[in-house]
Amino acid sequence: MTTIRSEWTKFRTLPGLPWLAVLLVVVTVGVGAAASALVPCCDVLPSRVSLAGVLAGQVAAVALAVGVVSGEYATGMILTTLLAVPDRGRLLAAKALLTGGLTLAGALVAIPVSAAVGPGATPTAVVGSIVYLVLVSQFALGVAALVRDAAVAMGVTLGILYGLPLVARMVQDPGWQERLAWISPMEAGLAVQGGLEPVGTWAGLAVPAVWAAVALAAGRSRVGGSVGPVV
Amino acid sequence: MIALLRSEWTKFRTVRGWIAGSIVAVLLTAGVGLLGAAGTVRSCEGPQGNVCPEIPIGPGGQAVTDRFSFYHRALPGDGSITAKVAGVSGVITYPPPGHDQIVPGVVPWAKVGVMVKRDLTQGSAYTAVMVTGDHGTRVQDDFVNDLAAGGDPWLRLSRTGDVLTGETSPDGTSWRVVATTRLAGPAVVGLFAASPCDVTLGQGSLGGVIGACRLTNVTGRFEHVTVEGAAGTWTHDDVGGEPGAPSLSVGAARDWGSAIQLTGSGDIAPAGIDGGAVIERTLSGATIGLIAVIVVGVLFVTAEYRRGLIRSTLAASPGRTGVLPAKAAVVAAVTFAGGLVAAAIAVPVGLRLMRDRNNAIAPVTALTEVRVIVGTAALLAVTAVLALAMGALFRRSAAAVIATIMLVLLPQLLATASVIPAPAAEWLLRVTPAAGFAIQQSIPEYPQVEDYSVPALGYYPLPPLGGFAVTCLYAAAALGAAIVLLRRRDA
Repeated sequence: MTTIRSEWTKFRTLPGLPWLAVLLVVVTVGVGAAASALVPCCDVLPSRVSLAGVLAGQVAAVALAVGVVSGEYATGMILTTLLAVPDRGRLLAAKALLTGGLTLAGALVAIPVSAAVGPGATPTAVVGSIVYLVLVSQFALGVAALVRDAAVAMGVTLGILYGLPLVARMVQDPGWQERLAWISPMEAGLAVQGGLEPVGTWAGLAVPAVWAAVALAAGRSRVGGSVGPVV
Repeated sequence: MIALLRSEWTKFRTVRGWIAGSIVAVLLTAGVGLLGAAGTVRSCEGPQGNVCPEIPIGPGGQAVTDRFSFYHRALPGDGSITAKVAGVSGVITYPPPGHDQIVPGVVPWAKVGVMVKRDLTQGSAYTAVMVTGDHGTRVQDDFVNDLAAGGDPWLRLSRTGDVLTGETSPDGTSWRVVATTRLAGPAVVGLFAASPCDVTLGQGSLGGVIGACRLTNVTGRFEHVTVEGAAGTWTHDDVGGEPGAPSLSVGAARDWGSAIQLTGSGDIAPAGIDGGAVIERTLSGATIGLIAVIVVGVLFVTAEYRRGLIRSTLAASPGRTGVLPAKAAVVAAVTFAGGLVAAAIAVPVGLRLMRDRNNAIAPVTALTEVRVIVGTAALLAVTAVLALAMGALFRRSAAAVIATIMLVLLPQLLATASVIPAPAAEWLLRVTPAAGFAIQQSIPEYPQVEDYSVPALGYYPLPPLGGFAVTCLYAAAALGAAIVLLRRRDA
């Protein structure tokens, strides 16, 4: 509990980080509203249109998670943190809880508002998109704990999120597109918004969950290792 | 300046992570495309075994569609054909919104008219004067050339020597010359009818856009048909017709002497998306490699701020103006070299892999292939400069990486893999740095083809170099702003 409190204090006193939670809401709702205004009503899936902002808004969740971890390595704060909380697993769990909780809070505002602004979304899509954003934040946190450097963590996370669907579009081979959809956390995870028949709805969320679990496990092993040269 | 370049190059090559990042970029760019190429297997099991149909190649070397109904005679030397198109009607199967009935109608690029063609093989040279569904009277030749010629119903095509002259007339007495082309040697002359399929775009089961092509046909009624200089009898052929084709696509001619009615389906045009796999498909890894390039470009400047090295750098170069250009030159040169190696491997090897797996490749000129390879390397290099400038503007690596990825990759993603409608997607690919991906497009969009020319299927709204120039402008503007700010700001 004290670990979470200390993480919360660090989070709320750092300039920039709290704004990312706000940014999550603003970008998600903004892009969703823009998509809703552009798309002629209802010839495509209304859930996809209303919640199109998730594609862009997830960047804020990623940035938040990376900031919570990498910021400490960049400034050397991590030495103090580890002195205060020698249990690495507990530290990472506290950071994961904080990041997940903040993303959840942001998503709980952003997703229902997007659904209300746009042409509407199914309850499955709303709940699934909230879960998806939380899973993305956990994935990014694990990657950040693994690679430590903010830029690299950002590149790896966004590369996997955005890169795989782009490659799938360019491959244009249905067999490969389906295989890529099944390993892409973004495509499979957002299948809850509908329109991705081979993946179905809920099963797809397992994909970002597995990515997040693997990344957190890998991050946990690296957090336990040497802090290395900082600053 | 030489000293600055040397110092920046020394910094770059001695930091293990930057070299590693550049190598990762090369591996991703080449590897992802090759994996995709190795996995693209086309199977054409038929009565003759696993043999895929050949895609006809036009006189200009492009893959073409050449399937139409042709009522013709031989044309050994000089001669002409004149006809009045008295009426055009047709059938469209299962059009939107219900896709549930067959209705009368003529698609915009349905064509009926007069034609002189080298022979009856698909892809041979031709010139035709025609009346179209919605695009008026036109003269087209050799698949890619298309000229609007008003809306007159009288058509004439005559040959003197090896010069073909296409003319139109409102009344059959006063003629206007629209175009002249060349076609020497024995040829065939006659009336033709072709009606391309009705194109509709829909949401694919995998989330992207898929096109559907529904069969149509057209019937032209010709009056006052006169032919001079022709030999032999009138014969009807479905050029490119296949046995077992649906009855609506089988052509037919009814002849009453000077009045002839001709029905046909198909198209005579560049092949567009059906002309085989495009060569840039082997470069799909560039979008992922781009992320590694962005990270290296950003870190090349933000790491200096984090480690405090920037103070030494600025102390060594108090004028400050040259620092960022030198960094940009180094990072651009390294990225360009890496990108060139990656693309020069990915394209030939990837094409080889795809051909071995039975895929037809849309033929392009060597110049286009070089443009796609060098252009991909140049796009990576310019993006590296943009990332570097973003790093210098933000001085924080996380913010700079986010900003660059959102500028370059997010528009590409929204335009090609989301629900954004095609017009909005095209604007995204005109005004954001993602426009530069146009340099990878190897097959141009032809206005006379009703094709799926949307970003989701690989068509960019800007020409290759125009799109690339947009990305360059962004990089130049960001670098300029960064140079000014570096001079003004306290390090």
